Amino acid sequence: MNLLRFAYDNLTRRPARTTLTMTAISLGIAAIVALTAIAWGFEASWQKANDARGTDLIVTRLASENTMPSPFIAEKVRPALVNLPHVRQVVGLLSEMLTVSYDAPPMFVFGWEFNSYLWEHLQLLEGRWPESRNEPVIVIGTLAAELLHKKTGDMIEIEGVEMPVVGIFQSSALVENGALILTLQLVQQITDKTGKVNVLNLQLDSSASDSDIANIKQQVRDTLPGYTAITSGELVSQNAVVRISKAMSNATILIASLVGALVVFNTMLMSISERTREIGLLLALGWHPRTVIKLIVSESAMLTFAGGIIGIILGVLLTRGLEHIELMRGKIDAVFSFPFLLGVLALSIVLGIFGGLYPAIKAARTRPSQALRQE
Amino acid sequence: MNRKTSETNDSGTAPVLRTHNLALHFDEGRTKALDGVDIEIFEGEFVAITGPSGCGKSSLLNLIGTLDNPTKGELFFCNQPYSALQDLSEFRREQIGFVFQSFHLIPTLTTLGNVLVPTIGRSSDHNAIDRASDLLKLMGLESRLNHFPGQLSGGERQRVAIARALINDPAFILADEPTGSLDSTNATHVLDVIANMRLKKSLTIVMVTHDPVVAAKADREICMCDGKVISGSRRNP
Repeated sequence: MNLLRFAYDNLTRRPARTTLTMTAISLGIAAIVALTAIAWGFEASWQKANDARGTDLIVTRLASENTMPSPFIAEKVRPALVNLPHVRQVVGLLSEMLTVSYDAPPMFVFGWEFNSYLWEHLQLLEGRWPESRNEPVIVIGTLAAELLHKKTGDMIEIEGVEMPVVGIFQSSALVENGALILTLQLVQQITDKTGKVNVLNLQLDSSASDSDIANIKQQVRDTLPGYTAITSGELVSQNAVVRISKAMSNATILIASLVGALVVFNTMLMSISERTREIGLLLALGWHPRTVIKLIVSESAMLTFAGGIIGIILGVLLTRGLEHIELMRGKIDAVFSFPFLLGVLALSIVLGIFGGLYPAIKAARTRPSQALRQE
Repeated sequence: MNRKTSETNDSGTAPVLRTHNLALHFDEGRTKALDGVDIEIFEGEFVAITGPSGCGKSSLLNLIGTLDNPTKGELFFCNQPYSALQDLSEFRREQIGFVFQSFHLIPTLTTLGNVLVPTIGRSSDHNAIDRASDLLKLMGLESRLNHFPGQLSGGERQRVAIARALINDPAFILADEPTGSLDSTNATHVLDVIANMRLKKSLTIVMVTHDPVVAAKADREICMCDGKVISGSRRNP
């Protein structure tokens, strides 16, 4: 008989209470896992899209923190960029979230400069690419095709303009698979943003080093007031939606941790209150108060450890389920890293230790003579 | 702490336990559970503490067992004052075995598990299971090792409690009305077990009882009334 086995036996004595507490902990942990994985996935998905395109730097409005950076006139900025050292291409991009079908959720519509490097990473599965900058046609990602129930030759109406789908492509980035891509000029026309882009993508030559990139960033700051050149990672991490989702995930971690600790605290307090006589007995039998503390803390840590394991499984299942509901498809690509899940498990154990500490100390201070008299 | 004594009394042996002017007061002195108690108990003695309900028998036992602190006075174990003990838990674990009227067995643990409770958390105690099995065999419970308290009779439960009290090979057994919850047959059996263990393990036994028949089994009777010892505080020379 060892302490952990004894702690385990004590938990199984009250199966209903143990199950309820474990359920509460697991729900909190599931919320932490799901929200954090979604927040990270959202960030990772956008970064993946930018990286897949081969963009080294993105020029956008300074402190642009909207869902997409706010649009600006490309030609005001482009001339200053094309002459910077190591810059191979400067390519405009305009992006909107639009409703393109009443029976499908809003979708990303990207306007990419015709014949630019942005198109190169996409794999055309069927049909063809647009053949000129003004050709009124659309190519759609595989997920968008599935969600819109469209195939090559079908028509799609965007902002009152009906255009045929001429190609279906696949991308390594989920966000692009769920998007519709037109030429930049077409999107500018359709959305009444003639000449405007959200960002200018800079592709640098292969000899550009980190210090060259830092130099370009500095030159953009110096020569283009109100604009900034940042990496795709910086753009994504500054994005308001990413920041909000991360803040929400942090808030969830905090709230779930507090609630979890309180639930454990309450459970263990009830447990030791019911077992006062037994704790008195253990002390009378020569248990050191430290051993009593170890017992109670072991019980609460076991409780939250089990809750943590169940919560992680629930969280992963919940997120995978969310990824497949119609409204969210193509927008979230949850990331579950092993260190993160391990961290969540560690958090659940820490919650158990903290939640159980006060009840444990209280139990250890029990006066055996009084406790043994208790009915 | 070594239980061997260094001080001797008139008869040549030393008290293993001694109290001096022991008092236990409650309610800021308004209730005197014990008032100026002086007793001596010698190694290997079987002492019964008797008296009417509320006379302070259990209070005295609790003080001997370090479950309470005296308001006044001092207890001595092998001539060393209790107040000098560094670790009361260790003292209880090493020197004292408790047997209670209501057994206090843990319902979710088996017979063997209950006997092992005092050894939990002691990683250095490697042969505890063997000791517990041997003790339960001595108690005639070898066929009940994996039974739970709810599956045992009152007498069997008390024998499990006695085995638990003996698991750490203590100097004393402090028994508080050990037969109080048993019928006469089981009570006799339990007393026989206690007497038998005392002989086998050279134990000193201090037993609280209000039953004169049970008290008669002891070598000496310490009679108490209103928190004071009225007779038997010292062994007859």
